[in-house]
Amino acid sequence: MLGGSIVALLALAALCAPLLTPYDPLRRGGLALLTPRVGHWFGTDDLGRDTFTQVVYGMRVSLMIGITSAATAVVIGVLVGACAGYFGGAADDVLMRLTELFQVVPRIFLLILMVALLGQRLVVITAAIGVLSWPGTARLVRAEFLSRREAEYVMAARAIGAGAARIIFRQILPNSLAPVVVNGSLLVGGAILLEAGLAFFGLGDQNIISLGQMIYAAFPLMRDAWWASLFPGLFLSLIVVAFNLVGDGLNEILNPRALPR
Amino acid sequence: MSRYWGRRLLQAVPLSLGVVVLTFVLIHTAPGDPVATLAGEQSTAQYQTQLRHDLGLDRPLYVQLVRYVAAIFRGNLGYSFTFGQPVLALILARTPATLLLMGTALVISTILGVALGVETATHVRSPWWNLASVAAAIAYSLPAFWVGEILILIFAVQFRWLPIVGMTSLGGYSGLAHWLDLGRHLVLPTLTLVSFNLALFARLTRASMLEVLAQEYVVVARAKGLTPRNVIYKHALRSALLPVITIVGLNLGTMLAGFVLVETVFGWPGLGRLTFDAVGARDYPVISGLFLLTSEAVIAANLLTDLLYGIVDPRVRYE
Repeated sequence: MLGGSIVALLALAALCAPLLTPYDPLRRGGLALLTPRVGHWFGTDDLGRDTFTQVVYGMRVSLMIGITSAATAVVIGVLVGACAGYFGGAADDVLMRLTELFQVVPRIFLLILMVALLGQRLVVITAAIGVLSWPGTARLVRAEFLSRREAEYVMAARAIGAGAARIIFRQILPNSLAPVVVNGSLLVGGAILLEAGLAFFGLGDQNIISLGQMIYAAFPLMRDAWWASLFPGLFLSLIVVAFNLVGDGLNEILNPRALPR
Repeated sequence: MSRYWGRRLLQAVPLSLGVVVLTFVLIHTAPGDPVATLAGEQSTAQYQTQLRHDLGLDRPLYVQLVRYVAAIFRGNLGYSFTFGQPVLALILARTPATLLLMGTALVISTILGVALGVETATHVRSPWWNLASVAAAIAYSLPAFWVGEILILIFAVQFRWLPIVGMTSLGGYSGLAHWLDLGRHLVLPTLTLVSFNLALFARLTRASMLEVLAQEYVVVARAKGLTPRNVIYKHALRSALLPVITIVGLNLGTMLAGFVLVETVFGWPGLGRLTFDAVGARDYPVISGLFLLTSEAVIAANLLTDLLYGIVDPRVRYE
């Protein structure tokens, strides 16, 4: 619940970014390296850009990347998990091997390779993160499908002639969504951290400000301008914490077994 | 027993090969023509054709794949342009530093994390529970490299208690002084890594313990009159640890990301730093070599945990 309110607050702030600050985040030439003060709440960076503005705009980007890649991962994961769980047999084996492959591989290296090779654009980054995050969801969905496959309502649906797709999407899937949602919330946090990690390697999209990029740029300035790394990191953590708390809270609601008796 | 091991080994083989193929595919999607780059701008088309033939790049793709796999088996992972060394030698040289950091951090976070998980699982009604949960959630969410930077700012820059970067000081101590110096340098990076992994282990252990404690045999043990400590540590914990080990094995890839970033922040001369430098220089042979080796290492680690699981939990062997 706490997480939910934090997320709502931050989302609101991110959306209203232009209203909150008079500065253009990319505009350079202001006074550089100012300590936090009235007028520049978070100080300025080495190019004279206002840090507060950057943080607010950066939150937009981070949120967008996080949610989009998590959504992509969930879609792929659900499809793979559903097919593996419902059809079983050879399809299950093949899909599970594929899932293992993507799960075991250290994502950061694959991500670095993909972005370095395919280009440092926002679309590429978001797609790459999404493509590398689906195994967890796939396993969850598969487990759910495996346990529900022999349920009576499924047999009834088959008896009236429903095709496989219909059964999957209309019957079993709606009942399986609870852990997927929880996982999705955690995925958003993970995706945001991954993007920040990429930016830290200098592989972020150069045309857009994101919180990870700010931390990357602030690294050499650490001694002189502590505020440049503190605030973006703080807000990045805040977003991720919020999503993780939301995920935890959802888990407590939807999965009573996890709570102590 | 050996059938289970044999099966797991067999399953690991296509996985390893899959990684190799994946690396190969990724390398070949790189933009630009390596032959053109190697030959230079002034070269003639004839020279380029010759070079292409010499390097084996004019063969069909599957032939190239086979040659690539063969080269890997011979230990040839390519040559690094930036560092001027064969990739394998480069990676192997940096591995001990990483292992030192990783080993220390993992040992500490495992012991502390499991202990914390057990405590939060058993003292459920206490007010600490919510606090610990939130604290764990926070520690789990903070980006490791940012935590590292903040720690450096506080402890090394502001208070000057601990060194900032690197593994050893420039003085070149020997004997005991060398180890002490190493230890001083080890503190901050380990602290950074531990904070994240500790939260992960604590959460996992707690969830697992809660499930185990609800089982009937625990009730029986308590009814038999065994001391709570006996019940928790000798009976419940053993079963609770198994899924934790499995999940940790699966998450090794993610944990590696944390290690890589922390090494970069602290200038620790290990594989993480190597990754950072290689990425900056776009040194693809090194990056793909790192990817290949770390993936294989994770696969091997997973295999190991599965085999251990088979020893510890007999039910698994007969699946």
